[in-house]
Amino acid sequence: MAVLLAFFQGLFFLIGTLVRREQELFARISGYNDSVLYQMAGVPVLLLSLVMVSAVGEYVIELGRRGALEHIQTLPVDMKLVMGAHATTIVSVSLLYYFAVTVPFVYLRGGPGAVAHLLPAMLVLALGLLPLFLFAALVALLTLLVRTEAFLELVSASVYTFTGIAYPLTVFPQFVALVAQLLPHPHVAESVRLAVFYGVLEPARLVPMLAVLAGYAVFSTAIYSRIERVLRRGGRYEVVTE
Amino acid sequence: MVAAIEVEGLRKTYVERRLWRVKRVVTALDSVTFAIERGTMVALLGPNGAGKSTTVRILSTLLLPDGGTARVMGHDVVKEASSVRRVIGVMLDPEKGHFGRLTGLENLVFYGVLHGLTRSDARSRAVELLEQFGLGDARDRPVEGYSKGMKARLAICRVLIHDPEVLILDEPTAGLDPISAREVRERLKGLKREGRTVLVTTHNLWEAEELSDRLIVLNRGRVIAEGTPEEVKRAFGLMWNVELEVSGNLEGLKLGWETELGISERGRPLLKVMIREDPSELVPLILSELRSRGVQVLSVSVREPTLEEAFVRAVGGA
Amino acid sequence: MRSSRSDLWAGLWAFSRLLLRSPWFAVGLVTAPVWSIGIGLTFAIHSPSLLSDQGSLRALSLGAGYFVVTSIVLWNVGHFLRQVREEGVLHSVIVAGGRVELLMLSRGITALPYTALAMALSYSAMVSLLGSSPVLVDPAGAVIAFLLLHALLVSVSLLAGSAFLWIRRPWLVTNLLQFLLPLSSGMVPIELFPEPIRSVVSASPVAHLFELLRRTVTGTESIPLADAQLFLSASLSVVSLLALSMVAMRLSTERMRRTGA
Repeated sequence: MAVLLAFFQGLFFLIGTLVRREQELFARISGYNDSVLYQMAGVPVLLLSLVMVSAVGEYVIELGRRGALEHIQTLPVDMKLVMGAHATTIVSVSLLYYFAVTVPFVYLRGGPGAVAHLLPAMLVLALGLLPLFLFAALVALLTLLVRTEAFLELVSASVYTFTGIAYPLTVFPQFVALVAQLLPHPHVAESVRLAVFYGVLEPARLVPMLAVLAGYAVFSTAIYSRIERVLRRGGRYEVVTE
Repeated sequence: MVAAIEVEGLRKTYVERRLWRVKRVVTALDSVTFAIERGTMVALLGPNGAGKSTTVRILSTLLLPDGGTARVMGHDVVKEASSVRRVIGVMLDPEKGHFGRLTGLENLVFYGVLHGLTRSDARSRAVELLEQFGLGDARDRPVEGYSKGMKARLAICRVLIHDPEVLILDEPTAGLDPISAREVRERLKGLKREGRTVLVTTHNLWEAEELSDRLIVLNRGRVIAEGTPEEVKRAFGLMWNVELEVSGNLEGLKLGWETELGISERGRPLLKVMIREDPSELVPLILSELRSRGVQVLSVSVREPTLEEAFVRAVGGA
Repeated sequence: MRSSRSDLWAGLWAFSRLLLRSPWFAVGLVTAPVWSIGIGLTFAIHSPSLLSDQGSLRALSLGAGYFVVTSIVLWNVGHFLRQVREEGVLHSVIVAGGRVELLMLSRGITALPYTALAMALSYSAMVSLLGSSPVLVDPAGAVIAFLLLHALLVSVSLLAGSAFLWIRRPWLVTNLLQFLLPLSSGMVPIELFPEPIRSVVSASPVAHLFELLRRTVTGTESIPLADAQLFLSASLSVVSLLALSMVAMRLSTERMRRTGA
């Protein structure tokens, strides 16, 4: 996975560095003065989120296929505890990944100053990865419900294109940006980007991010019980993968 | 009788590598030789790792041997693989080998066309087989919705789609419930009655005894016994147990056979006599011997050795 | 009597049904334009004026469609061999005397309507979203160019697919290939790159193939070569890759028989 993240980050860096850039025009659209650094700071958040959606989804599908999901259901364990343990592991590993794949490119683009800004960025990300994980877990549960792995692909494509992390959403109709605000992704990416560019933790950005985090926590818990009931009623934990 | 399958000195070694380093070398077959006559059903027995699946795969042309020869209906499995494939039907896993999203009928038509049938011929043959194997009602349903037993029956239909003379079936009843397993066994008996040659591998010794004319027992890549179930039991020197409830003085009793003293379930003295020869001839001799020594026999029971005992002795002692 | 035609026919008949019944087909057609817009914008954002120039926008949109089609073929055809091996179908096919390379080729052929639809949707959606209208300058030429492009992608997928039987993380290779292949053949308009890169890309036969498609669809030119030269170079590369992929499939099947894997 680390290889893949580094590959994508390197690829986006290489393309961004090699193509003819129109920084003034980009600044007018995005408010940032460097399109490459813009992507180097934000794209890993997007990639990590996609990896989480796919990894958590595949993990749950695999558990279902092996019958382990039913086994877990029968254990006297609080599901919040299981989720918490998974979240802690995934968030810690993701932070490490972010740091490892971002440092070289941020250094090349923004110099040592920008690298120093990665510290506040990591702090923001430590918080921001939680709603991203909850989102991924929610998608995994919904995949069990719709019973096709192709659902993960639909979510990944939508997250990539409509959350405005790799580029601003200015070319889309306004409702796309409004819908995107309901997802945790743009809040997390924007907070991280502000930290990388300016070395600050912007309360104005952090508050909506925390609000979305809280919202997702409540929403996930509520929807989890509903989905669990539906699964237990149907008794089918296997997802079609072909 | 002409042999349908002839295997001579078959050898196969698997080499496990990690990058370029050899991690492990496993000898799967070590000079295996046997022959199967046409129109018979033969069970290949052996514990896990004995070389059964390797033998089946070589005979199915899926695996190349390192040495030795194997011929099916006179065709060499290495040099004449295409000719072998025309005369065999192979099932490696009763649950696998089908496209889950295609219906049972579509799967059979697919394999029929691969075997060179026209689509209409493949279809009529498939319909006939599906009816014959009790899948007529399910023929237009996707296979992913079939039960294990239905998949196993469909797999038999698949191997019969081109009407082969030789069937090679690797554990055809594995994982099936008793009713489905019985159904499959009945179908296999039917195939034998049709005059086909059938080679099955199984872990189920009772099943092997029930189905097969002959057994081939493999262990650690070698044939350790071969013959009818009776011959295999005898080859391993298994003994019949003659159990006699007796009364009278057994002190110093010595017979010409191996004996053991015990207490029966009813609390009476129990004399166990172990014999290797046919009990129908020996039991009267034992009775008259006991009578001549003043021992009264209250009841007699003879317990036949099972194939399982033969198998455990053969494999455990190997 | 069985023949190569029966292998191809059996594959076409079964795989077209499989494709139509797979949820991936419908989902793939929905996500194709979504991915192409996302990937296109990711590269275009460095030069936003690209999006206001009709020709460049169409070329970029077609390039993004090329990325999506590459991805579809790699996952749909490249991973199929491994998938059928896991499902036990491959063994049954070999025992039935089926030629694996021909069956896989039929899998590639059945994917053609899927990729054509995905390309059309991706190209039109991105061009339309950005306020322009999709054009098709030379329909007959575009069909020929797309057929060649599809054949090339199938060949690469079959080559990769025969390797996927033996490597531990085929998804990793697929992820790399689905970006590297389109990017190295001019998915992002090469006018945006400095001269040395432009020269390298212009010399690639795979880039010639995409250039042929771009010319016939959008009418824009990036590589200074005549149509006939592009066609010849593209056809040669497709034929040689296809032949190579057939040999690779054969070798892979033989290796399976040798090792029992």
